[in-house]
Amino acid sequence: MTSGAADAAYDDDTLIARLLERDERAFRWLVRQLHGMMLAFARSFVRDAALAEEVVQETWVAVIDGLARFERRSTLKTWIYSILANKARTAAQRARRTVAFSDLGPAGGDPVDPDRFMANGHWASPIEPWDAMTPERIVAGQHLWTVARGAIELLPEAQRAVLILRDVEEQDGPTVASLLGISEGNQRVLLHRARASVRDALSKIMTDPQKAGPDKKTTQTGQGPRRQS
Amino acid sequence: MTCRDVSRRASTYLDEDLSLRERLALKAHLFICVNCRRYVAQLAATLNLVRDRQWAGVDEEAEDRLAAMFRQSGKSDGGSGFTCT
Repeated sequence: MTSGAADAAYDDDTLIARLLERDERAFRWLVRQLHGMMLAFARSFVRDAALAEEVVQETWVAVIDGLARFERRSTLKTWIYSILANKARTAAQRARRTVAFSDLGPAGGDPVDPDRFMANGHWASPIEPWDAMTPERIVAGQHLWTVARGAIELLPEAQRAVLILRDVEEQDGPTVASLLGISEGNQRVLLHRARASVRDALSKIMTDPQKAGPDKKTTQTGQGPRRQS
Repeated sequence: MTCRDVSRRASTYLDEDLSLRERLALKAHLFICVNCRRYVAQLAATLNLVRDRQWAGVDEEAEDRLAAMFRQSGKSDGGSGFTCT
Protein backbone atom coordinates (compact mmCIF):
# COMPACT_ATOMS: atom_id res chain seq x y z
CA MET A 1 0.00 0.00 0.00
CA THR A 2 1.32 3.38 -0.90
CA SER A 3 0.54 6.73 0.58
CA GLY A 4 -2.05 9.04 -0.90
CA ALA A 5 -0.80 12.57 -1.18
CA ALA A 6 2.72 12.76 -2.50
CA ASP A 7 3.86 15.13 0.19
CA ALA A 8 1.87 14.00 3.17
CA ALA A 9 4.02 13.97 6.25
CA TYR A 10 4.90 10.63 7.77
CA ASP A 11 5.29 9.88 11.43
CA ASP A 12 8.31 7.82 12.40
CA ASP A 13 6.50 4.49 12.78
CA THR A 14 4.72 4.77 9.46
CA LEU A 15 7.83 5.95 7.73
CA ILE A 16 10.00 3.15 9.07
CA ALA A 17 7.36 0.56 8.18
CA ARG A 18 7.12 1.95 4.65
CA LEU A 19 10.86 2.01 4.24
CA LEU A 20 11.13 -1.57 5.37
CA GLU A 21 8.47 -2.43 2.79
CA ARG A 22 10.77 -0.81 0.24
CA ASP A 23 8.36 2.02 -0.48
CA GLU A 24 10.39 4.27 -2.73
CA ARG A 25 8.01 7.15 -2.35
CA ALA A 26 8.58 7.17 1.39
CA PHE A 27 12.31 7.08 0.84
CA ARG A 28 12.17 9.98 -1.59
CA TRP A 29 10.11 11.93 0.90
CA LEU A 30 12.74 11.36 3.58
CA VAL A 31 15.51 12.38 1.21
CA ARG A 32 13.69 15.59 0.35
CA GLN A 33 13.25 16.33 4.04
CA LEU A 34 16.82 15.81 5.08
CA HIS A 35 19.35 15.63 2.29
CA GLY A 36 20.00 19.34 1.72
CA MET A 37 20.58 20.11 5.38
CA MET A 38 22.62 16.95 5.84
CA LEU A 39 24.99 18.28 3.20
CA ALA A 40 25.29 21.64 4.93
CA PHE A 41 25.83 19.83 8.21
CA ALA A 42 28.52 17.57 6.77
CA ARG A 43 30.33 20.61 5.42
CA SER A 44 30.74 21.77 9.02
CA PHE A 45 33.15 18.88 9.44
CA VAL A 46 34.66 18.48 6.01
CA ARG A 47 35.06 21.62 4.03
CA ASP A 48 35.36 19.90 0.69
CA ALA A 49 31.94 19.79 -0.99
CA ALA A 50 32.60 16.56 -2.87
CA LEU A 51 33.78 14.84 0.28
CA ALA A 52 30.74 16.11 2.17
CA GLU A 53 28.53 14.65 -0.53
CA GLU A 54 30.31 11.34 -0.23
CA VAL A 55 29.82 11.34 3.52
CA VAL A 56 26.11 12.01 3.16
CA GLN A 57 25.74 9.32 0.53
CA GLU A 58 27.52 6.83 2.81
CA THR A 59 25.13 7.86 5.55
CA TRP A 60 22.13 7.04 3.37
CA VAL A 61 23.63 3.66 2.58
CA ALA A 62 24.11 2.98 6.29
CA VAL A 63 20.55 4.12 6.99
CA ILE A 64 19.09 1.79 4.36
CA ASP A 65 21.22 -1.09 5.54
CA GLY A 66 20.76 -0.51 9.23
CA LEU A 67 17.09 0.40 9.35
CA ALA A 68 15.89 -3.10 10.18
CA ARG A 69 18.13 -3.03 13.23
CA PHE A 70 17.20 0.50 14.31
CA GLU A 71 16.02 0.16 17.89
CA ARG A 72 14.03 3.39 18.05
CA ARG A 73 15.61 4.66 21.21
CA SER A 74 15.70 8.02 19.46
CA THR A 75 13.74 9.50 16.59
CA LEU A 76 14.66 8.41 13.10
CA LYS A 77 16.04 11.85 12.33
CA THR A 78 18.29 11.86 15.41
CA TRP A 79 19.54 8.41 14.49
CA ILE A 80 20.32 9.50 10.93
CA TYR A 81 22.16 12.59 12.14
CA SER A 82 24.16 10.58 14.65
CA ILE A 83 25.32 8.29 11.83
CA LEU A 84 26.13 11.34 9.76
CA ALA A 85 28.06 13.03 12.58
CA ASN A 86 30.15 9.91 13.10
CA LYS A 87 30.92 9.50 9.45
CA ALA A 88 31.70 13.17 9.00
CA ARG A 89 34.00 13.15 12.01
CA THR A 90 35.86 10.12 10.68
CA ALA A 91 36.17 11.70 7.24
CA ALA A 92 37.50 14.89 8.81
CA GLN A 93 40.10 12.90 10.70
CA ARG A 94 41.12 11.09 7.53
CA ALA A 95 41.50 14.44 5.84
CA ARG A 96 43.55 15.48 8.88
CA ARG A 97 41.17 18.16 9.75
CA THR A 98 40.47 18.82 13.35
CA VAL A 99 37.13 20.29 14.08
CA ALA A 100 37.33 22.36 17.20
CA PHE A 101 33.66 22.58 17.99
CA SER A 102 34.37 23.60 21.52
CA ASP A 103 36.43 26.59 20.43
CA LEU A 104 34.11 29.49 20.91
CA GLY A 105 36.41 32.15 19.59
CA PRO A 106 36.80 35.64 20.99
CA ALA A 107 34.40 37.72 23.04
CA GLY A 108 33.26 35.11 25.50
CA GLY A 109 29.67 34.17 25.11
CA ASP A 110 28.21 37.31 23.62
CA PRO A 111 25.94 36.54 20.70
CA VAL A 112 25.90 40.16 19.56
CA ASP A 113 29.03 42.16 18.84
CA PRO A 114 29.81 44.21 21.98
CA ASP A 115 30.61 47.19 19.74
CA ARG A 116 26.94 47.53 19.01
CA PHE A 117 26.31 48.68 22.56
CA MET A 118 27.25 51.83 24.38
CA ALA A 119 29.13 51.68 27.64
CA ASN A 120 25.85 51.82 29.55
CA GLY A 121 24.56 48.72 27.76
CA HIS A 122 22.10 50.47 25.46
CA TRP A 123 22.05 49.83 21.72
CA ALA A 124 24.49 52.24 20.08
CA SER A 125 22.20 52.65 17.09
CA PRO A 126 18.48 51.91 16.94
CA ILE A 127 17.15 48.58 15.76
CA GLU A 128 15.34 49.35 12.53
CA PRO A 129 11.91 47.81 12.12
CA TRP A 130 11.51 45.12 9.52
CA ASP A 131 9.26 47.32 7.42
CA ALA A 132 9.95 45.35 4.34
CA MET A 133 7.90 42.50 5.80
CA THR A 134 4.99 43.40 3.54
CA PRO A 135 2.46 40.81 2.42
CA GLU A 136 4.19 40.73 -0.95
CA ARG A 137 7.45 39.90 0.71
CA ILE A 138 5.89 37.19 2.76
CA VAL A 139 4.48 35.62 -0.39
CA ALA A 140 7.97 35.79 -1.80
CA GLY A 141 9.17 33.86 1.23
CA GLN A 142 11.39 31.83 -1.02
CA HIS A 143 13.68 34.81 -1.30
CA LEU A 144 13.84 35.21 2.46
CA TRP A 145 14.76 31.60 2.82
CA THR A 146 17.48 31.94 0.21
CA VAL A 147 19.00 34.75 2.26
CA ALA A 148 18.70 32.79 5.50
CA ARG A 149 20.17 29.73 3.86
CA GLY A 150 23.08 31.77 2.54
CA ALA A 151 23.70 33.15 6.02
CA ILE A 152 23.65 29.64 7.49
CA GLU A 153 26.22 28.51 4.94
CA LEU A 154 28.48 31.40 5.94
CA LEU A 155 28.37 30.69 9.67
CA PRO A 156 31.50 29.41 11.36
CA GLU A 157 31.41 25.62 11.24
CA ALA A 158 30.49 24.84 14.82
CA GLN A 159 27.71 27.44 14.80
CA ARG A 160 26.35 26.07 11.56
CA ALA A 161 26.29 22.52 12.87
CA VAL A 162 24.47 23.57 16.03
CA LEU A 163 21.95 25.80 14.25
CA ILE A 164 21.08 23.11 11.73
CA LEU A 165 20.51 20.53 14.43
CA ARG A 166 18.68 22.81 16.85
CA ASP A 167 16.59 25.05 14.66
CA VAL A 168 16.29 23.40 11.30
CA GLU A 169 16.04 19.82 12.53
CA GLU A 170 14.55 20.80 15.89
CA GLN A 171 16.67 18.54 18.06
CA ASP A 172 16.90 19.39 21.75
CA GLY A 173 19.96 20.92 23.38
CA PRO A 174 21.27 17.82 25.21
CA THR A 175 20.92 15.70 22.05
CA VAL A 176 22.84 18.25 20.01
CA ALA A 177 25.57 18.60 22.62
CA SER A 178 26.07 14.85 22.72
CA LEU A 179 25.98 14.49 18.92
CA LEU A 180 28.71 17.07 18.55
CA GLY A 181 30.66 16.12 21.63
CA ILE A 182 30.45 19.55 23.25
CA SER A 183 29.06 20.78 26.54
CA GLU A 184 25.49 21.99 26.75
CA GLY A 185 26.74 25.43 27.70
CA ASN A 186 28.89 25.65 24.58
CA GLN A 187 26.06 24.35 22.52
CA ARG A 188 23.88 27.18 23.77
CA VAL A 189 26.49 29.87 23.13
CA LEU A 190 27.07 28.62 19.59
CA LEU A 191 23.33 28.57 18.97
CA HIS A 192 22.83 32.12 20.20
CA ARG A 193 25.58 33.44 18.03
CA ALA A 194 24.35 31.58 15.00
CA ARG A 195 20.80 32.85 15.42
CA ALA A 196 22.01 36.42 15.90
CA SER A 197 24.06 36.21 12.69
CA VAL A 198 21.18 34.88 10.64
CA ARG A 199 18.94 37.59 12.06
CA ASP A 200 21.52 40.21 11.03
CA ALA A 201 21.63 38.84 7.51
CA LEU A 202 17.85 38.97 7.22
CA SER A 203 17.81 42.44 8.67
CA LYS A 204 19.75 43.71 5.70
CA ILE A 205 16.88 42.91 3.38
CA MET A 206 14.03 43.38 5.82
CA THR A 207 14.70 46.95 6.80
CA ASP A 208 13.01 49.30 4.41
CA PRO A 209 15.42 50.23 1.63
CA GLN A 210 13.06 52.86 0.27
CA LYS A 211 12.96 55.06 3.30
CA ALA A 212 14.79 57.79 1.44
CA GLY A 213 12.67 57.29 -1.66
CA PRO A 214 9.41 58.97 -2.67
CA ASP A 215 6.81 59.30 0.00
CA LYS A 216 5.06 55.98 0.47
CA LYS A 217 2.99 56.61 3.54
CA THR A 218 -0.13 54.53 3.63
CA THR A 219 -3.27 56.59 3.61
CA GLN A 220 -4.84 56.70 6.98
CA THR A 221 -8.23 57.94 5.82
CA GLY A 222 -10.27 57.92 2.65
CA GLN A 223 -10.22 55.17 0.08
CA GLY A 224 -6.52 54.63 -0.08
CA PRO A 225 -5.18 51.15 0.45
CA ARG A 226 -5.07 50.38 4.10
CA ARG A 227 -3.04 47.77 5.75
CA GLN A 228 -4.28 46.33 8.98
CA SER A 229 -1.89 44.93 11.49
CA MET B 1 18.64 44.67 32.75
CA THR B 2 20.31 46.50 29.87
CA CYS B 3 19.84 46.08 26.12
CA ARG B 4 23.07 44.17 26.02
CA ASP B 5 21.78 41.81 28.70
CA VAL B 6 18.65 41.30 26.62
CA SER B 7 20.69 40.48 23.53
CA ARG B 8 22.52 37.85 25.56
CA ARG B 9 19.33 36.25 26.81
CA ALA B 10 16.99 36.71 23.84
CA SER B 11 17.69 33.32 22.35
CA THR B 12 17.19 31.47 25.64
CA TYR B 13 14.08 33.53 26.24
CA LEU B 14 12.62 32.39 22.92
CA ASP B 15 13.44 28.80 23.83
CA GLU B 16 11.50 29.41 27.07
CA ASP B 17 14.51 28.34 29.06
CA LEU B 18 15.03 31.47 31.17
CA SER B 19 14.43 31.32 34.88
CA LEU B 20 11.24 33.00 36.02
CA ARG B 21 13.18 35.84 37.56
CA GLU B 22 15.17 36.54 34.39
CA ARG B 23 12.11 36.19 32.23
CA LEU B 24 10.25 38.80 34.24
CA ALA B 25 13.23 41.16 34.18
CA LEU B 26 13.52 40.74 30.43
CA LYS B 27 9.81 41.32 29.89
CA ALA B 28 9.97 44.45 32.01
CA HIS B 29 12.77 45.72 29.82
CA LEU B 30 10.88 44.91 26.63
CA PHE B 31 7.97 46.90 27.96
CA ILE B 32 10.00 50.08 28.01
CA CYS B 33 12.45 49.50 25.14
CA VAL B 34 11.31 49.57 21.52
CA ASN B 35 14.72 48.56 20.19
CA CYS B 36 14.81 45.39 22.23
CA ARG B 37 11.19 44.64 21.37
CA ARG B 38 12.16 44.82 17.73
CA TYR B 39 15.29 42.80 18.24
CA VAL B 40 13.52 39.97 20.05
CA ALA B 41 10.64 39.96 17.54
CA GLN B 42 13.10 39.82 14.65
CA LEU B 43 15.01 37.00 16.27
CA ALA B 44 11.71 35.15 16.72
CA ALA B 45 10.82 35.75 13.06
CA THR B 46 14.23 34.42 12.08
CA LEU B 47 13.63 31.23 14.03
CA ASN B 48 10.21 30.79 12.48
CA LEU B 49 11.68 31.13 9.04
CA VAL B 50 14.51 28.71 9.70
CA ARG B 51 12.13 26.18 11.24
CA ASP B 52 9.77 26.35 8.31
CA ARG B 53 10.49 23.28 6.29
CA GLN B 54 8.77 24.37 3.11
CA TRP B 55 12.12 25.08 1.61
CA ALA B 56 13.30 21.56 2.30
CA GLY B 57 14.53 20.20 -0.92
CA VAL B 58 17.14 18.41 -2.83
CA ASP B 59 18.17 18.60 -6.42
CA GLU B 60 16.30 16.03 -8.45
CA GLU B 61 19.40 14.36 -9.72
CA ALA B 62 20.61 13.58 -6.21
CA GLU B 63 17.15 12.39 -5.23
CA ASP B 64 16.99 10.07 -8.25
CA ARG B 65 20.44 8.72 -7.58
CA LEU B 66 19.61 7.93 -3.97
CA ALA B 67 16.27 6.42 -4.96
CA ALA B 68 18.06 4.16 -7.44
CA MET B 69 20.38 3.09 -4.67
CA PHE B 70 17.38 2.40 -2.46
CA ARG B 71 15.74 0.26 -5.17
CA GLN B 72 18.90 -1.69 -5.76
CA SER B 73 19.53 -2.34 -2.11
CA GLY B 74 16.21 -4.17 -1.87
CA LYS B 75 16.89 -6.58 -4.71
CA SER B 76 18.71 -9.21 -2.74
CA ASP B 77 17.55 -10.22 0.69
CA GLY B 78 19.81 -9.43 3.56
CA GLY B 79 23.05 -8.75 1.77
CA SER B 80 22.32 -5.44 0.13
CA GLY B 81 25.55 -5.10 -1.72
CA PHE B 82 26.34 -2.14 0.43
CA THR B 83 28.56 -2.46 3.39
CA CYS B 84 27.45 -1.14 6.67
CA THR B 85 30.17 0.38 8.73
